[in-house]
Amino acid sequence: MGLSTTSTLAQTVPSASLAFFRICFGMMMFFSALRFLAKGWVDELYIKPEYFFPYYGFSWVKVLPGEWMYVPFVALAIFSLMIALGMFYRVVTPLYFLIFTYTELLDKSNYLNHYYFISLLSFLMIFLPLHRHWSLDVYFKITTKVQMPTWVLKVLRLQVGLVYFFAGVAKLKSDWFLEAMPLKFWLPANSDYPLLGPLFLLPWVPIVASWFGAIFDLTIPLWLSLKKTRVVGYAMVVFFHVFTGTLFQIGMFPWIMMVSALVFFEPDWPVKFWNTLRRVIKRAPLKSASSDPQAGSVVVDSPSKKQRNFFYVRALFSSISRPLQWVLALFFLVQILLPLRHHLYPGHVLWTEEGYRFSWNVMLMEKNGTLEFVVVDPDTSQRWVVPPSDYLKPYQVKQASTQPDMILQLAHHVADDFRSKGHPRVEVYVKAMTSLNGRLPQALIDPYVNLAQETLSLKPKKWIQPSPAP
Amino acid sequence: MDDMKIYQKIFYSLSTLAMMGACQNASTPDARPSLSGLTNNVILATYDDLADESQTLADTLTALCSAPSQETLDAAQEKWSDVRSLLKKVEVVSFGPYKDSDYDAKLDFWPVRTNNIEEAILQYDSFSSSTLVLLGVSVRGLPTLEYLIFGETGDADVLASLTSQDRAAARCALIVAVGSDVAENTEALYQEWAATGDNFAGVFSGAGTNDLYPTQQSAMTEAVNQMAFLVELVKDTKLGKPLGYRSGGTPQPSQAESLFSSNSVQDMVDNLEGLKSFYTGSYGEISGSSIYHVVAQKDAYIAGVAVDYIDDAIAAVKDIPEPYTDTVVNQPATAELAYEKLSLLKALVSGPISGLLGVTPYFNDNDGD
Repeated sequence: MGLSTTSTLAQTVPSASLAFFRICFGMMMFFSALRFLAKGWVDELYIKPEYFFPYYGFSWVKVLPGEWMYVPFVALAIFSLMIALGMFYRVVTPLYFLIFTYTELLDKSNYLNHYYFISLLSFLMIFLPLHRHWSLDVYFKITTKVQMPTWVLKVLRLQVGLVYFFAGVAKLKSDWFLEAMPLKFWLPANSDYPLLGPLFLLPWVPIVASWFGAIFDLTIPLWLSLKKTRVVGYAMVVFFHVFTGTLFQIGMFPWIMMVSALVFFEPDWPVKFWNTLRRVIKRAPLKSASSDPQAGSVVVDSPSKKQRNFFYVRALFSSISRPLQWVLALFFLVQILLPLRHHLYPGHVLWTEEGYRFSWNVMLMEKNGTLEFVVVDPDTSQRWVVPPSDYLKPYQVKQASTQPDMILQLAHHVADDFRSKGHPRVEVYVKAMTSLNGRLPQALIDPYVNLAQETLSLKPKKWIQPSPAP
Repeated sequence: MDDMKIYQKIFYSLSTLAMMGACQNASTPDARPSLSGLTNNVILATYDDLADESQTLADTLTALCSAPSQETLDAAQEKWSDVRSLLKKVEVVSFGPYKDSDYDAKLDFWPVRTNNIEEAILQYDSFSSSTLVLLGVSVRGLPTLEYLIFGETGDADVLASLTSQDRAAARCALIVAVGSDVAENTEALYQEWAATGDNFAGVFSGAGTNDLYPTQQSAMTEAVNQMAFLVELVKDTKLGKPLGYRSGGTPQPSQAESLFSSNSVQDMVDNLEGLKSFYTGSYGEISGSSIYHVVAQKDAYIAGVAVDYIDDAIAAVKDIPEPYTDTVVNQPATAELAYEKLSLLKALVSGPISGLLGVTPYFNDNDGD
């Protein structure tokens, strides 16, 4: 990460862009929470299901009873609005992180990369003083208006850059590069897309789109980091995310990334932008950037007397404390290692999905399958064929049908259910036929392994059938 | 200024690409011919045949009740099987009027509720259309007719029930009324699809120009999901349940379809042959464009594999001895093999076929990546 030297990181920069990021983040999360409530997703995803897939090590995280599940989402709406307003920011950000992450840990079926990204951002925001500008905390003098230490900006840039970079690394697979999968499936299905739609039917377009997508992800942090290419880079960010956002159902993700990528701009860009806008609209004279201590390029902690009189600027965070350095170093080390952990497992990550989550594997596969459990009571020789829909909602069935760890968890749940019905030595076998990226369906799980006896762990799952040929 | 030039270049490039795409579009094959072929050559043709044959069945049933004999009973049973075959072949079209106007219940409510039928015979001397509506779907449709003309204990008892037993006249009246009801409903179903009627065919094949199917993709999604549903229905409900897959391995012969006519296996074969017609666009002597042709444009190999998988499933089901009620008890292995073939077919339809067609499975998808 960018923990180069303490002196560099101790420099301060105008806080406008960071405040802008906070406001946008808060507002997006506010509307996201409202949307979640309005669309009835709390009921659908957290109240109606009878079974939830816990994450490894987090089985102790449970849903609240019945309608109480609305409480966290109402709290998220309120807290996100408070973050946007910069109101009791220091108290609210940890709460927001905890509650948001709690809702995400409840059920693996609901895993989305952008939810994970929000958890990461909200965790970082606990340590980032983004409320020191354009906030109610400043207005009510709960805190003081200051410039930001450079490291705050760099931390956010690093986080956003890592998402793009590893999303690009994840695309370096033969399916993506050579077969143009899954875009070869997805693009022609959108041939009614305005203007560009007819192009999607052309055979070379998915190939070009796949290559562009990978190169975009891998290089966009660089484009955004260099001053000369930043504007073009951001234009590409907007095009890419608007394009994919309108093409595919990816919810808030494009908007979050478009806002997040703005942190690569000069830290005073909102002020300059506002001044330019004002001049255009009112033909008002351009306010000198240098007259606003929040504007301008990187400055060292030496505000003039005049600036102090006008804006009461103080740089409180002249350096990162040693514990925080460790926290951030560990945080980013984990961020770098998690996307690479799939190399520790045999087989193709898209097939086994061991090390798949939390690795920025974004829109990489079209995976469908059928799943059935064969339950055998060796004491009575009884045999049942149990569809997952006996225990799951349709959206959970779709997720569980192709993800081995979820299949194992559900097998255990099925076994528990049959044990409770008087079959103490029940055996659970799986028939799962899976098609990955257009290949013919083949068995995902060894049908002769009694999954009731297999334990869930981080070790490689030997009962996953070999990956299909490339 | 440099940025401005770059934007201009990007704009011109995109415009050129879009124009290239628009030009290509004129010659790019789309799904319309396939939807049209499927609708006219398969769905409408089958519904038309179903309506015609149902009318013949109604006539045959009238003849049976006018002069009950083994000959007229054989004729009625044979015609019932013909109609049954057509209805099963078109069961894959479980959308549009068939569902919206409840023809599925009116024509094919099962398992048969024999008590309801016998109570109706005791209660009424004659049966008008409104009486049947009042009695409900458990006393209508082909399964009710099957119970009445095939019976539980053989032809002799059926003939006796129509001639010498108590309430014979009422029983015959019910047979004639249900026969007419089936004929009326199949004709009404055809008319709801036909261009001369409500023209649902125009709505489906004209996808992209109406609200129900705003895009061709939405109609293709409907069609492919129906294929997946049908395979699942045959596999889990018609084949698996009687095998005892849902009841601890204890066979459940009473869960078989078409119990009285021992037509369970033939029903499944007809279902799958209907599925093949639906997929390939071939029905009887007619051969046209359908889903296969859209898939083949993108991946001829997968398109062909799907035909192979359907044929394999049909062959496996055909190998199951009738009556299925005995097979599930005495030799379930043949049915288990068919079950595996259907599982594979289901995975193929839900996987590569859906993928190649860009079909969204009917799930409550949350937004996501």
